[in-house]
Amino acid sequence: MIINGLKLDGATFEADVCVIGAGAAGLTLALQLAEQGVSVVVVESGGLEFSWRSHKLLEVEHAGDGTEKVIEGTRERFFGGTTNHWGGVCRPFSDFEFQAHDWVPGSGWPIKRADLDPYYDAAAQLLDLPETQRDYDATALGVAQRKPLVTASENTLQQIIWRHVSPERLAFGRWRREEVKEHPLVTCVLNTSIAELWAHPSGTHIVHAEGRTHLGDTLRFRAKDYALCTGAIENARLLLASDTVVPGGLGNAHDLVGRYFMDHPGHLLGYFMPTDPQAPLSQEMFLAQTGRAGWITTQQVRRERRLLGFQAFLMPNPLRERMPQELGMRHLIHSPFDPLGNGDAARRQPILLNFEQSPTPESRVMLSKELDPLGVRKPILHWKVKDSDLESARQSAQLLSLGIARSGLGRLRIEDFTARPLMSGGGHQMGTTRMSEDPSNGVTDRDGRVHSVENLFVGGSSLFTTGGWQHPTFTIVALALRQGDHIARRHTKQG
Amino acid sequence: MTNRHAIHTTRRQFGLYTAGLVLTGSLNPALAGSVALSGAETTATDAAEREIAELGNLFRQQQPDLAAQLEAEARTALRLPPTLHRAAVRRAFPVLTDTARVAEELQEERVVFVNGWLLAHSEATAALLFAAADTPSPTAPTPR
Repeated sequence: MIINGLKLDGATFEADVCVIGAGAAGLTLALQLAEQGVSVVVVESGGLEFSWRSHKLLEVEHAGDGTEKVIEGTRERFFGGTTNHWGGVCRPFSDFEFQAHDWVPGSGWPIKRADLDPYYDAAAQLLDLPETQRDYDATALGVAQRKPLVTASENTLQQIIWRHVSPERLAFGRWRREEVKEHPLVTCVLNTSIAELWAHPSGTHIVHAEGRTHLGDTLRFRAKDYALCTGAIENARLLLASDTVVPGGLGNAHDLVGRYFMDHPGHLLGYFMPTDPQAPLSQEMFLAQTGRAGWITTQQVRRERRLLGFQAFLMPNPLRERMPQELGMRHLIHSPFDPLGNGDAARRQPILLNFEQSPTPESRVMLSKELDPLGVRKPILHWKVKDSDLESARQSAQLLSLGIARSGLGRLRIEDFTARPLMSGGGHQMGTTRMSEDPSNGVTDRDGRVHSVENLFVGGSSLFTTGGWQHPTFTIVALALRQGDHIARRHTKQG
Repeated sequence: MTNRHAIHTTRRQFGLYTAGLVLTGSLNPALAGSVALSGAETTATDAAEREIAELGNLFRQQQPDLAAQLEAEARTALRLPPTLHRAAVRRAFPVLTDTARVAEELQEERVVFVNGWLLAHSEATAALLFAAADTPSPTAPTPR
C-alpha cells in the first residue's frame, strides 16, 4: 500500500520494521523483509515524482572548500531515491576491497566478500544481470575482439567490464512500485520526513520515529526495529539530529557519526591519442546494452606500490552521438567534453578516471545551526581528500599511460587532475556510519546495526568501511538483501 | 553516479597539434611532428620542432639531473658537437625514436612524464636535443 502522509496529523503507524527512505537500500530491504513475513512501514520524504519541495530538503551547507561539486545534482529525494538518475553500472567488490591493507589506515571491513557472495547472486538476479557473467571478464564476454589498448601481459592493469542493468531496472521507484503497492505487509507513507528518532531514556533503543510534513502534520512510527536508508549524508544527519535524549546524537559515543565521508573523486584523466587516428576504438570499448570497458590497477601492483583503488574508462567519441540515453546517463550528455570545440575531438579519445580515497576522519558530515523548512538542522559537508590519495591516483594514471604506450596503439596525455580545488566526485557518497567490529572504530556492526542502539539499523553506502573503486549501488543492494535476512531472523525468533 | 568533470584546458595541447602531422615512424604522438622520415625526405615543420623543444625544456626544468645525464649520454653516443643545429638533431631523431629501442625502454619502465606525456628516455632525449638546438651554446661567442 502506498499512501500520502499529508493531512494525517497525529496518525501513528505500527509495523515490525520501520524503513526510512525508499531508495535502492530502503526498497530492497523493505521488500526482502516483507517476503519473509515481516511487516514494514516505509517512510519516504518525497512523493512518487520529483518535486522541488522535497528536493530542497537535501540542501547541504559547504565548508567553503569546493565540496559543493561533490554532491551537486547527485541525489534525489522522492520514491526510488537516487536510483531515479542511476546510471546502472554494476560491479561487485572483490575480496581485496574488504581486506585491511597496511597502507590504508582504517581499511578492513568486518565482513568478507564470501559473506556477500550469495547476496551478490541474489542482487544480480533481482537486477536481471546474468549471474554467470557476474565477474565481468572482458575476454570471457568476447568483448576484446580487437587488439586491446592494454594487453593482457601487463601485470599492473586489468581490463574489465562494467555491466549495466537494463533500462527497466534503473529507477527502483518505477519497477518496484507495484510490489510496494500490492504487498500486504508493506505500507509506504509518502511526503513525510523523519525529523527525529526518539530513543528510550536509556539510549539503548528507539521507541518511535517522528515524521513531519510540509503542511505541519506530525506523524509517529512505531516498530520493533528501525532502518535508516537515506544516503550517506542524510543518515549521518538524522543520527546527529536525534539528540534530544542522547546528547551528541545516536550511536555517536565515539564521535564517529558523520566521519569518514568518502566519494570517488573523478575527473578527465586525459586523452588517448591513437597512432592510427582512424582506429575505431570507442566501438570496442563502449558497448551499449552490454557494458563498458575500462581498466583498473591489479591487486598485485596495488600491494607492491601501496596504491588505492583506481578505475579509468574510455569515453565514446564523439560523446553526443555515442552516449545512449537509455542507459540513464542523460546528465552526461551536456558535459563539456569537447573543451576546445574545434573538431579535434574526432581524433582523440577522452579517458575518465575515478579513484578511491582513503578513509579520513576529518572528512565528515556535521550539523549546521541553520534549519531546513521542516525545522531539522541542515548538514555541513567537509569533504577532505588527502594529498596521498591524489598521489596514488597520479601514479595509477601513469601506469595506465605506460600500459597503453606498451601496446603500441598510441599514447595517453594525462591532464593535471590533481590540482585543487578538487575535481568532482563520482556521486558516490559513502562512509559516515561505517561498519566495524569494534565500536571505537565505527558506528555500525557487521550487520549494519548501530553498535550502541539495539534496534536501529543503517542501510546503504554509509556502511562502507572503504570505498573501493567499484560503483556502489550493486553492493548497496547486496548489503540490503543480507540485512533483510538478518533482521527477518530476529523477528522470526521473537515470534 | 554522475560525472560532472570540470575541464581546465587553458592552452592548445601540444599533442593535439602534433597528432595532426604526418606520422610514419613513432609510437608517440607527442613527437609526431618530427617523425617522419621516409628516406631523406622530412615532413617535420619548424613549429612542431619548437613544440618538441619546449617539451625538452620542460623536462630539463622538472628533472634537471636526469635530463643532463640523458643529454650527455646521447651527445657522446651520437658524437654530437657542443653547438647543435636542428639538422643534426633531425638526423639523430630516427635513431633515438627507433621503435624497438622505445619499446624496450617502455618495457623496462625507463620513462619520464613531461607535461602529461609519457616519453621513453630516448624520446625525452630527442626532445632535449631539439631544445639544445634552439638554445645558443654557452660556448658560442656573444654578439657585441
